[in-house]
Formats: sequence, C-alpha cells, structure tokens
Amino acid sequence: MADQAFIADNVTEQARPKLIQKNSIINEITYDSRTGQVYKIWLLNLFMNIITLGIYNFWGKTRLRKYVAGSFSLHGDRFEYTGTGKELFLGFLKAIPVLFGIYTPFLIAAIIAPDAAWPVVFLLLFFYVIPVALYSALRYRLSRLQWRGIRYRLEGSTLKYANLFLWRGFLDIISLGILLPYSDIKKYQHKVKNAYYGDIPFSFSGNGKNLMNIHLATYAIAIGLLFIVLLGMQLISASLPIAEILMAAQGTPGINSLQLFSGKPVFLTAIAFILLPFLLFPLARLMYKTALIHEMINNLHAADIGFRSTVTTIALLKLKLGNFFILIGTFGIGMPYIMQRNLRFFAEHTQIKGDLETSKINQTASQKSADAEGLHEVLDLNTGLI
Amino acid sequence: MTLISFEAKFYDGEKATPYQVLVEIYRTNLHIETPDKSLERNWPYKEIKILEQPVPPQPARLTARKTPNARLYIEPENWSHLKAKLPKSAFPGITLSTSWNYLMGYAGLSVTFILGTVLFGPKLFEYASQMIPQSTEKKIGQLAIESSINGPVCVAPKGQASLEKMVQKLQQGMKRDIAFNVRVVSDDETLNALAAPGGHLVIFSGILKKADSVDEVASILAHEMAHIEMNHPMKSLTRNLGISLTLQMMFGNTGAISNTAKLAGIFNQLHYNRQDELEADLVGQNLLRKANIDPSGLGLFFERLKKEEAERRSGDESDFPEFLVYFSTHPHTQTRINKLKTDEIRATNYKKTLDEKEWQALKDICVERMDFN
Repeated sequence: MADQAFIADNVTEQARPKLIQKNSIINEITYDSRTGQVYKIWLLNLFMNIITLGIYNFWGKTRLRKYVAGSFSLHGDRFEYTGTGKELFLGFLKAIPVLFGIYTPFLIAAIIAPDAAWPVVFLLLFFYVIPVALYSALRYRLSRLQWRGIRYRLEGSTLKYANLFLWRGFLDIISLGILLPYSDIKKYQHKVKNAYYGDIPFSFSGNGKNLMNIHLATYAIAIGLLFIVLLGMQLISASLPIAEILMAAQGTPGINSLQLFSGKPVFLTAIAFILLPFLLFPLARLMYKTALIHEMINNLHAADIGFRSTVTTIALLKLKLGNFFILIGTFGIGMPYIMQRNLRFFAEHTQIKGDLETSKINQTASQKSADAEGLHEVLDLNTGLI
Repeated sequence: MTLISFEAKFYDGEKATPYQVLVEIYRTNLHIETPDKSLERNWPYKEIKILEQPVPPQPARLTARKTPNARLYIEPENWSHLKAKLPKSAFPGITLSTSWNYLMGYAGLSVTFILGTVLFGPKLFEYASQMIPQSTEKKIGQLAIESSINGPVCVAPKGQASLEKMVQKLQQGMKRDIAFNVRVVSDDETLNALAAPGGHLVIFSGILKKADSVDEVASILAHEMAHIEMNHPMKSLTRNLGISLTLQMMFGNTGAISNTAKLAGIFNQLHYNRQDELEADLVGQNLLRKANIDPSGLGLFFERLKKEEAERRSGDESDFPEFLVYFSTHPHTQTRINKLKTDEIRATNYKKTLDEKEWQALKDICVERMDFN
C-alpha cells in the first residue's frame, strides 16, 4: 500500500504531543526533486528550443515548473502548478502588439526629430513596462499554483505597482541608495498585501526601518572600499611614469610597459587594492540580504499561520559562492544544478509556523485569471530557470 | 474476481482538507471513499482527466471533468492498475519523453539544425538582401554613413572632381547600375576606406597621405566599389541579422549557453566578412583591369604597410600571429598579398588613373573642409 506518501504526516503526528503551544508547531517544507530528472527536462527543452526555433520554450518552461512545484510539499501535501504552455504562448502573442505600440512612436519620433531630446520620453514608457511585466508574471504564476486543491492569487492594480516601483527607483537614485531598505520592503509589501491563499489574505508587519542599521553599516563599508579602489588606482598611475622612464633609459623596444612593471610589488599591491573590494563588497551586502530575507519572511502571515526564515549570512555566502563557481566552471551546463541548489536552500531555510490541521483555510470563489505573463516573456526578464 | 484497491490522497477543491481515501477500480468507474465513508465519490472513467502522469516520487494527478477543482493524487506504484483502464481521452496531449534514448535523438536533431544553420543559413539570408528595395538600401546606407563619420569632410572642388573622375572610370566595368556618392573624410590617422549600402564610398585622408601613387588610391577605391558591385554591405547585413536572430531564437535566454552560441555566431560572421574582403580584392582588381589601370596597386600598398609595420616592431618580419586572424574582420595581410599576386606579364599600356595635376588636386582635397551634415 501507499505508505510512503504518508510518512511525512506520521512524523508530524508523532511530533505533535511534544509541541504544546499551537503557535510553536513548526512545519518544514520538503523539496524532493531529483537532479537527474531536472536535467532530463532541461536538456529536452534545450534541444527542442533549437529544433523549433524557441517556440517550444513555453511548453518546456511549463513542464519544468510543473515538476519543480510538484517537488515541494508541506505537511505531506504536494504543491501543484496548473499553468499550460498554451497560456504562456498566447500571453506572448498578446504582449507583442503592446511592445510595438510603445516602440513605434519612439521610432517615428526618432526619425522625425533625430537631434531632439523629447523622443526619450517614450523610453520612459519602456521603464513602465518592466514592473508591469514583473507584477503580471507574478499574478499569473501565483494563480496557477495550488496546495491541497486550493489556489493562490494576486490581486491589486498592476499600474499601481508600476507607479510604486518607478517612484521608489527614483527615490533610490536621489538618495544615493540610502533609502533602499524602504524600497525593498515597500515593493514586497505591495505584493504580499494583495496575495491570497484561497480566501485567506496574506499580511505583512515588517518595516524598512528595521533594516536601516545593517544597511547603513554595509553602505559605510562600501564607501570605505571605494576609497581603497581609488587608492589602488592612484598607486598604479603613480608607478606608471616610473616604468616609462625605466624603459626609456634601458632602451628596450619590444617590451611593453605592462610587462616591465607587472612584476613590481607596488603594481601587485595596487591590483590587490582594486580587486579585493570587488570581492569584499558582495560579502558585506550579503549581510544586508540576510537581514532583508528575515524581515520579509518572519513578518509574513496568513491567518493564524506564520513564517520563519533560518537563513544565515554564512549559508547564503556558501550558496552564492558555490553557484558562482559552478556557473563559470561549467559554461552554463551547471544551470539546472544551480537551480536545484537555490530551491533546496529555500526549502531548508523556510519554515511554516502554526497548526495546519486546525487552520481554517477555505476555497475562494474567484475565477482563474486569464492574463498570462506575456510581457515578461517578450522582455526576457527571466533570471532563473523557473 | 478480486477487486483492486489502494490508498490515495484526495482534495475536494472546496476546502483545504486532505483526505486519505481508498480507491477501488471497477469496470466503468473509480470509487473513492474515506474509511469513515464521510466522503464518497464515483468517477466514471470517461469523466476522468489526467493532469500529470507520475514522475517518481511524484504522484499521478487526476481530476474529474464535472469537478475540475477536485484532485486525486495516486502514488506511482499504484498507477499501473488504473492507467490501463482509462480511455485515451483522459490522457493529456503530446508529452515528449525524457528517456535518454529520446534525448539522444533530440540532441542529434538539434546538432543537425545547428549545422544546417551554419552551413546553409548565411547563403540563405544573403539571398534575402535581394528582396530589400533600393530606396530602403539608400536609407540604411545614409544611416550607416552618418554613424561612422565623425570628422569634417574634405570638399576642395578640384580634388572632388578628380575623385569623381576616378570613380567614373572604375564604374565602367561594373554590372550593377548605381549612383556613387564618394567623400574624403579628414582623418590623417586612419588608413581605411569604407563602402556603405546605396553606393556610399568614404576614403579617410590617411590613405591619401600614405599612398605612393594615384594607382594605389584607385586600387583601394576599386576594392570598395567591388564591395558595392557584389552587394556585400546588404548581404552581410541580412546575413548577420539572420544568423544572430536564428541563434537567439534557438538558444533564447539560457545564460552562458546562449552567450557561447552568440560568440560562435560572431566567429561565423567574421569568417564571412573575410571571405567578402578577399572577393572584393579580386573583383576590385578586375575593375582596375577593365578601366585599363595597373591592377597591382592594392598588393603594393599592402606590402608596404606590412614592411612598415615590421620596421616599427624592430625588424621582426612576421605579421600578427596567424591564428589571430580568426578574431579579425579582415584576412591576414599576407594572405591578401598572395591572392592578389598574378602571373600575368605587366602590360605596358596601362594608363595612369589621373594626370599629375589631378592627383595633386586630390591630395590637396582637405584644404577646404566642412562639417558633415
């Protein structure tokens, strides 16, 4: 009999008596996909895209999403992705005229007035398209995700999100990035407050203020590192004339100046001064990233259910460094493995708090939303595999 | 007859309550019930729709057409019992197999497609250039010229007249009927000339400085005109666009893999670019012959460039390393010199392209200059 499927259930059943308080029940997310199977789907997509000149992409992507979503389970119940390749394809077709509608006036303006600055206004419309595409893609994906037969959904105005996105981007620029935590949280909040599981709304109690300390600390580190880079450049430019003089004195044509002084300690030091900050900066920002994840996940709620993240900076560093080396070491063949690492990391470091047995979660009456993530497809904003 | 039954998971699609159910396989329907019989469903086989077939450890996911939100998840080991009972209509459309045998087949097919694109694509896309009307070609040429000239244009009338006379002479041997628009751009550092669609010819003044004789200038001009004669600018435009678009469609956004494909595409473009250059060298030589001008000018010009380059690098006679040619838009200079060498006995009746006075006027064309546009 099918005992295996219920092992996860039994474990929580046995564990429950130990947990006295309702809120302290911790549910783990499991991710049991097989990397071999992910590779098979990925290779199929790669080959079929070559054969069909990319048309298969919509179906291939859907197949991978179905497999990956189905590999996640919570409390012994698997997730399910119900999107179809046809939906993605139609969304793509719908998005093309929208982009042309924006691109054509820009092109005409550029031809009519090649030297004028005002055609740039049309470029702003392109900036508008990006958040619209991001939000509608998220809306589509959530509406096609379900657990225990109940769908998720994302409501709210796409244009409002786009306004927020551009406004925050503007503030980020004029504040030289100081207000970044507020932007990160505000954008996240907009999405969360419009997200539902069935008829249960998600809520969020976090605040960008909580991230300011860590942000400003890493910001200060960044400025310090910038000074070190400038110092390194100063060192190089200072050592250059010396090399030129040496070369002229020795009269050795054919040896270029770089060869001549690249062995000099001062040059190596200068190079280290420039390169080291580029390694240290991402490390400093990972601390912020960790704090951001905690702020986002730990303050997320759905009715009586809470969420918790166990991400640490070190764990995140290991993940990112590993991904980086896999990426550059495999010329792209490692992409599915990187995806697996990311998803496993998410599953390992995210917990759901609360009693899923007694929680009242009901089916919503809302219909499937029809708009697929077309704009997202055309703009190719994809950063991951799913 | 023994009744086949097994446990499965059921969700009614109305409440997020998981049910552990007993599934019994009957002749025409599936019976689903909880142990306490609080939930009971009868799904006729013809009503069932398979959403996903099992991919271990994931279960098969089924629904019924009348209750499309309901779900029955059947573990992989129990799937075979039911699979045989279900009618064809229950199965989803085409699902491509991911077994290694099939994958090998797809891999072979895709390699064939890539090879086909590389081998036949360039010629096919070049052919597309014939479908572009002359008026469009002119506009493209205008844009190309505007973006590649960023210095003042030399406009001394006598020099311009000499230049146009030279073009006229060379044009006699051409099959293509096209109105040329020839310009000298004031830039003594650049040893280059270019041809753009729509008959635009540009010579940088560095060429006039460097040339030993008017015949050398004529040979360079003939080379550029040969590009137009062979329609190289438009051909390379449609070829490069076609190849890069095809690769983009094939590899899409697959990160490093698509970047590798793009890089391969660039090497492919460079290869055809070098082919075009060699062709223009030879066709240009023919244009010179037909105009009764000494065709050895280009070869001589290259030899001199090579020698000077070698002298600059203190007696090292070699050109840039041979393998580097794969990164270049132009062929190896020695290759060009070799191809240009002809065994023909130098005819004595070659005429000078221009007389001394006209040649001097051309050299002095940059005395009068004006901004481009």
